[in-house]
Amino acid sequence: MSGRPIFVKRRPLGARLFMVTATCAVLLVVDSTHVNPGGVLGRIRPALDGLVQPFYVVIDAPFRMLRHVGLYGRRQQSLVQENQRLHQENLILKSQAQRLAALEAENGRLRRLDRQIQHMDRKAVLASILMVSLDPFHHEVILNVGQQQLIQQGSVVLDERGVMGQVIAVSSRTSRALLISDADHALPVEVLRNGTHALAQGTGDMGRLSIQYLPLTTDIRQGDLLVTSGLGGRFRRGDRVAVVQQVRREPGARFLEVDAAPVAYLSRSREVIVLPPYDPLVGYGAG
Amino acid sequence: MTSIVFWGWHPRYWPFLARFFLAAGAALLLTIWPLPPSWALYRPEWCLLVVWHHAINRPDRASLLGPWLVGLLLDVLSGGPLGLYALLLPVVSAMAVRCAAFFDIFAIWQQALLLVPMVLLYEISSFWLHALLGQPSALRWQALFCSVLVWWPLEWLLQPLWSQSRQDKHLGS
Repeated sequence: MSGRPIFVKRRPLGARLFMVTATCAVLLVVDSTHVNPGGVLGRIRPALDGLVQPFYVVIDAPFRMLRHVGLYGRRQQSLVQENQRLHQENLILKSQAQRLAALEAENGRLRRLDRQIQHMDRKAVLASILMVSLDPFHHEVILNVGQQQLIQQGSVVLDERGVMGQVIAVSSRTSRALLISDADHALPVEVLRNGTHALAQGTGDMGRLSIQYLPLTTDIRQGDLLVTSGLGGRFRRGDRVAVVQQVRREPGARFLEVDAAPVAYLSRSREVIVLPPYDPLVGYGAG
Repeated sequence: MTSIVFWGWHPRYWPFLARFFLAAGAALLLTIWPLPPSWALYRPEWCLLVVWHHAINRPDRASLLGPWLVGLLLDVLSGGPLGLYALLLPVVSAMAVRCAAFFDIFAIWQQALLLVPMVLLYEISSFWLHALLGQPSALRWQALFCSVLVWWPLEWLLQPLWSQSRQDKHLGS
């Protein structure tokens, strides 16, 4: 059949464009104002997040294959050596963990916070990073765990060295985490040496956090370790966050200008730990 | 009513739609393919190129709903405000449909130059919308050059794949 279509009528381009544009305008407003979070409109994004999961799987596949191939390709001798080394490390770590367990138990008795400490790590979930944000101005990562692994919004992401960020969106099998270096992220910290409270604000630079609103007389120096203070909830107390790199006292300024470097490998970690959001009143709950 | 619900989703559109969504899927994958942060600025606007390519080659088949869906997926994958690329890609498609007849008289290398204002508009609108919604962003002028550079090989590869029926594309068959 050639010639003009008879049954397929199309509205004029302008009318169609107007309808699409109007829909998108509504979506943009709904999404950026967070109205109706539990309702139909608020569920659009989680539903779409579920829809795009195959893309993450496809992207991850070649990298996973490379890792496997790398493992097979290694020579037996090096594997044996690595195995021995890991055994030794495991022994050392186990002994340390035993001591830690004893200390934790003692501490719990002392503070009558038994429940909290018992459950502290039981709810930890091991996750791996599927991909990092494609926009250099968004420091976000996609994790391979979601609602099915009981991840919730506000869960805290750590690597073996320190705090990495927090979960901001969860779908059934993946979740999206905001890194502490994102310009939109800030977390309450304290100086380990003397307990001074401060706020560590992301700068959009993976290697730098900015410590905000410290009076000029604050005792803080280069090399100080900053840990989470647990104030404000969500982050438990005492996880390592950053090391102070530089302290500047500008004449005439109201506050110190302090730069700190995150201790977690924000751009290099692949395996991470996800903890549920911490509530200072009930700890991790009784589950 | 049918014409409202099925904007051009008649069986005769299916080969075109299959082709479009395959290409769009590949474009989405290329868009989220992990790159070092310093390279990410140079990433061509794959989705724009795919939408543009399909709309100027078959303006009679090109829809707005397809680009809208692709834009929605791109929004979710990029983690930006929902509806941003879903707004821009149909506009790109509509503009391409309008320009298609005009484009036909140019050689591929000239078409790539005509793409410049389109990508520029796309980048500026995206930057402006991000700013309007309070999201961090930057004007990715590097992507402009890369998109145009990629256009040549892309069109050279994909052009022969259109069937002979392309000749009567302006007849609306």
